[in-house]
Amino acid sequence: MATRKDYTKLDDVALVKCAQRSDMRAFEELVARHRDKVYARAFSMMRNEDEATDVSQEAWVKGWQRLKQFQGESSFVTWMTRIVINLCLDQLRKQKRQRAESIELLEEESGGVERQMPIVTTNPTEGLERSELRARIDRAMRQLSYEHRTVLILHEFEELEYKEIAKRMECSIGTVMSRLFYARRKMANLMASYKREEMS
Amino acid sequence: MNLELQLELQAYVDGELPARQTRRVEKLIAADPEARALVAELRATRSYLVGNEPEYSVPESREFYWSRIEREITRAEAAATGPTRQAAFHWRRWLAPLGGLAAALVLGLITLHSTDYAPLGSSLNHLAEVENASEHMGSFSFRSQAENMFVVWIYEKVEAVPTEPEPQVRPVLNDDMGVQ
Amino acid sequence: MNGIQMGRILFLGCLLTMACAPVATRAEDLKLEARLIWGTNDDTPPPQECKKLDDETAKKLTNVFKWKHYYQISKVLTNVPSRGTARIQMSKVCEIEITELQGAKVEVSLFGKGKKVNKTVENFSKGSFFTLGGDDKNDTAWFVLVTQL
Repeated sequence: MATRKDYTKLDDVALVKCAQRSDMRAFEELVARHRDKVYARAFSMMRNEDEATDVSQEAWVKGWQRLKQFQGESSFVTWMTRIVINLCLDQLRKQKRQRAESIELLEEESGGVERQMPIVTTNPTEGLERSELRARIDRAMRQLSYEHRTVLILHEFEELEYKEIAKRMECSIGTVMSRLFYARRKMANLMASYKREEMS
Repeated sequence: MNLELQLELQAYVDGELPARQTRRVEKLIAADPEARALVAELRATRSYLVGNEPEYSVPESREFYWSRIEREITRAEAAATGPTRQAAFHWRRWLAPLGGLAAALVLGLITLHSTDYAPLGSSLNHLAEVENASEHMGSFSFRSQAENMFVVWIYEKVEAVPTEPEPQVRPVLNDDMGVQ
Repeated sequence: MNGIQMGRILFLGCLLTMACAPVATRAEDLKLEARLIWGTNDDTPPPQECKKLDDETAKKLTNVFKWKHYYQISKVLTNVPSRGTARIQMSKVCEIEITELQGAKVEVSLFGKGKKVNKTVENFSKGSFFTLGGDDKNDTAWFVLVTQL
């Protein structure tokens, strides 16, 4: 009788090699290990649990189908995250056709940013525990439009350059820059307002 | 400070400026307090965002989450193989006259074989036999060891619509349609 | 030892074997509880006829599925005769049929609008849960939860 493989003891590189030989149990272990990270990226972009679940599961299916193309140029989870980002962007583009233009985008385009948002000079995160800081960042990001949130995620969390973001979002580098600028200024002002709420 | 300059300052903070432009911007920052304040704000925002991304977890159990993925992988592979899938379908039809028990037994044997290498907690780590009795409904099953629960999830089968490229529409010389 | 003695020994051996062999005695009826449950993520309270599911069972379901709120639509207690079958009406359109098989196995068939949808044969023991489920409208879900009492 063949000995049962303990997939939990294998590292990602070994699991990927097994999965590339069509070992679905190895792939299942990869899913179990990294599902939260992939889901988290989807949720941060879609801001809807069901959509994020669907998109992240679709990403895993695509990951399985394309696994032989993965050559280890990045970590496996980074590769999977890129897949889920692209799927989220596709989904957001489809939804955009049905969504009204957000008021934030209009504000940004009208150049109202510099008039409405003063420069924040105090530290809005001072004295905050990490969990509190994360909760506030989450709260602030919910206030952003899809476009602004996406560009912020891709730049600050995925560490993509302007050119790469422009390519993925199918817009110009100039648009990326102005959206990122608005998103950051808005974040700074929101975080400052939460700090003021706390102090009052 | 106009928007163009503000975006240039942002690009400087992000390391996206070529060397010559960087030196020019650095001189500007040194001379302009408003520019300095904006750069400080952009840097501060960046510093507290990096490493503090909110964390979210999948709101489903490992087994349930995986079972849908597995089902979709299997479905996609079956659709891709085409004739093999039809052969499998005919094979099941041939078994039907032998009664549901025979089909269930075969499914059970397949299931048992599949569990030989299944790690604990795997969706295949069960000895149940599941049989779909309806052409329009499918099912997948899994076991939650933690909750001592065996689940059979029923879903409505949706026929995959083949994706074809949009047809090229020829302009029709028809006054009613208003096409010129 | 002559042939007759050998024959006696063999005959007694057979009797002994038969005596030790598992005899199909009448086992007890299977006492089961079947509940029809509705799961939703909507925070607004549902109609009054939907009773909130007990905390322990709701937690179990929450640990497996994504829905946060669970409501009991119906509950049926039934006895499945030993090696027999019981049919349970869970709702106007949903029935399940449970047959006790040999060993600890049960066969559970799901009927929707009178048509068989699914059949499962599964090891079933006290303390374990057998759950049939599926998606419902507006991103809710239905469940039939069967437990042995």
